Amino acid sequence: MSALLRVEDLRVHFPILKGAIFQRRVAVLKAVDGVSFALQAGETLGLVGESGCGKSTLGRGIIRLYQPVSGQITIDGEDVVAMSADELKHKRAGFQMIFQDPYASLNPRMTVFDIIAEPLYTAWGRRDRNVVKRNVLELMDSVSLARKFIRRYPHEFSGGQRQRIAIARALALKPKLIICDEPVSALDVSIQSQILNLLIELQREFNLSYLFISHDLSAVKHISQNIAVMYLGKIVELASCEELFRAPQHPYTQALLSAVPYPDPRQERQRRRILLRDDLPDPTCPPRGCRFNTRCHKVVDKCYRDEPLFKDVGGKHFSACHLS
Amino acid sequence: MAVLDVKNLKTYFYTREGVVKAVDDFSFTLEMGMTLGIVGESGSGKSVSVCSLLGLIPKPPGRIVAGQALYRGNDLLQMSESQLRRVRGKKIAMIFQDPMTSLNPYLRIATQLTEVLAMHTDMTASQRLARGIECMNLVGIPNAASRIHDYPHQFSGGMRQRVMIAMALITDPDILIADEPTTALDVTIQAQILDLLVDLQRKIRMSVIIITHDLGVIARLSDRVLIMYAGNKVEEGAADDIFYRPQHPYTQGLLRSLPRLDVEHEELPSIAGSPPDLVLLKQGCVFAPRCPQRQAVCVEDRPIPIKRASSQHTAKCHWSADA
Repeated sequence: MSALLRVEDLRVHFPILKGAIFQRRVAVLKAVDGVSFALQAGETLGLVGESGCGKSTLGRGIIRLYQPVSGQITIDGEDVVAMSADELKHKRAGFQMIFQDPYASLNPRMTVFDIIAEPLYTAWGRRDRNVVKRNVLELMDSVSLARKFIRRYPHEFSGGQRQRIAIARALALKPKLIICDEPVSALDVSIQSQILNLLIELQREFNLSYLFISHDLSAVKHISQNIAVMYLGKIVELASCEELFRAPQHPYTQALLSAVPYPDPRQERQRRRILLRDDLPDPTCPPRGCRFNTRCHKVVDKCYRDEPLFKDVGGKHFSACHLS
Repeated sequence: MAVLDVKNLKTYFYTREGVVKAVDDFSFTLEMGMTLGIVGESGSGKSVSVCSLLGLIPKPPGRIVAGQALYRGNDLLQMSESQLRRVRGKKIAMIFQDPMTSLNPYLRIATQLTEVLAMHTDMTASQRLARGIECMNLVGIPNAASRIHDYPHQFSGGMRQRVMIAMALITDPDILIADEPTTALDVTIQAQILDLLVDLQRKIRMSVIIITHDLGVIARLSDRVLIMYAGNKVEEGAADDIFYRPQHPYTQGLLRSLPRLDVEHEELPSIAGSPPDLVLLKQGCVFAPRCPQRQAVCVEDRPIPIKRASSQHTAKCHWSADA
């Protein structure tokens, strides 16, 4: 089976400029710095990491909302990096995005119809309104949004319903890949599971592939087949969902997993945690050697000298640590 | 001994759209040295109820319609602003969700941290500074003696939340109220702050009220748990009772719908529908429209809390007694 999405050595950098007229580059923020992975059709890759690790930038870089500095992106056999702006406009139908905040991602002046129909008009040009309307209604059905809401505005909906509108819009052009950037983080607890279930249903129905970006490990575990853990612009561990939770290899993954509190008081009283020191270091000047060496609980001399390779530790379980 | 005893609190907001019954039935007893967790989704009234106790509700449109909140025998709700000011910040301290916006970016930490001492005590400036450094050490900020002269932007998110906690502890309060103290933080930083809170409570005997939507945080910190839904307290009990023997269908649904790291599950049974509009609340149980166990009586009558005989465990449901 060939991968639907293949990313190789992708780098997205942002120059940090100073000065009003004569701008000079004072530093480079390497938000995504050499990331490679593959995503199979119909599967979900969970991308986890803390704020500032570059997970959202990676998601946006893949669909070229940011221009990568180097690297290769292939979606469905086509080279995305080499596409011209015109080509990209057409091909973007195949890869869509769902954003975190459904209060910000929907235009408050547009009705549900306008919002969901916009990609259809963009792709097809002016078309018979009835054809468009039929499509919009079908899309509303598939995200379980009552048809009678078609003339309503975003402010009339709750957060969960708004996220359904955003999902319907993403589905409009029958994409194969959807980048979900924290799609449930802004929602209430009792609504999160509804949206997760909907995403899983839609995946089965339309054979969608998801890149599911989230800081919430529990949600990622529920929806993903494979999980990649990011730290300071690099993937530090990549494995199947079961493998990652059963035997996490990278010390950062181990700390991340142990930091999540379980909704179970008895377990919480007995659990042993790995507490990480400090905060994320300044991403414009990441530490030499292993990027995690400032916070790692297993750090050895070698970690300050050499950057560890991202290698297979057995059974397609990749980890970038000298000790694994 | 109870430090705080709240009975039948009702806080309504009188808006153009109608009366928003943000808190419609809220009671609890906070024992000395205990941690009470208040759980609820956005709009369930968990923050409003606690803010009502401290007189932090904007009036109008807000109004405390009924209730009593006895702190060491004195009713907080009946106090004048000046009486309340002697309690608030000194005896009952509060930390908020977002450490980025709760600190003034123009003032040095020393100024903000010790301001409360200038208000409530007659300490000299050097005594206040010493106490500030002592508190920063207590919450685990390294090089406190020099860092106290820094500005907020020189601190990371986790460190700012530590500053907020230090600020709350500086007057040796009886009660610490933490409103979503870790929601804005990353998990590894959250773990640090939760550890700090557990550790602090061991060192200083104070009572803590923690407000959050994260049941994991509740499980980690709380002795007792109170579940809010649509302005009503729907269930209250010891943490183990709530997590292992939930009585109210909302609590049961909430616990089942959580994706979890420690449990394998195929499907997530979610609660259908969404929380109600508080202006349009009808008679009957507030959870009835979404409840899988709804009967005719649930739509007609608002249930009264039913106590389980075995323990201090109540659920506001017609059916919980025989569940």
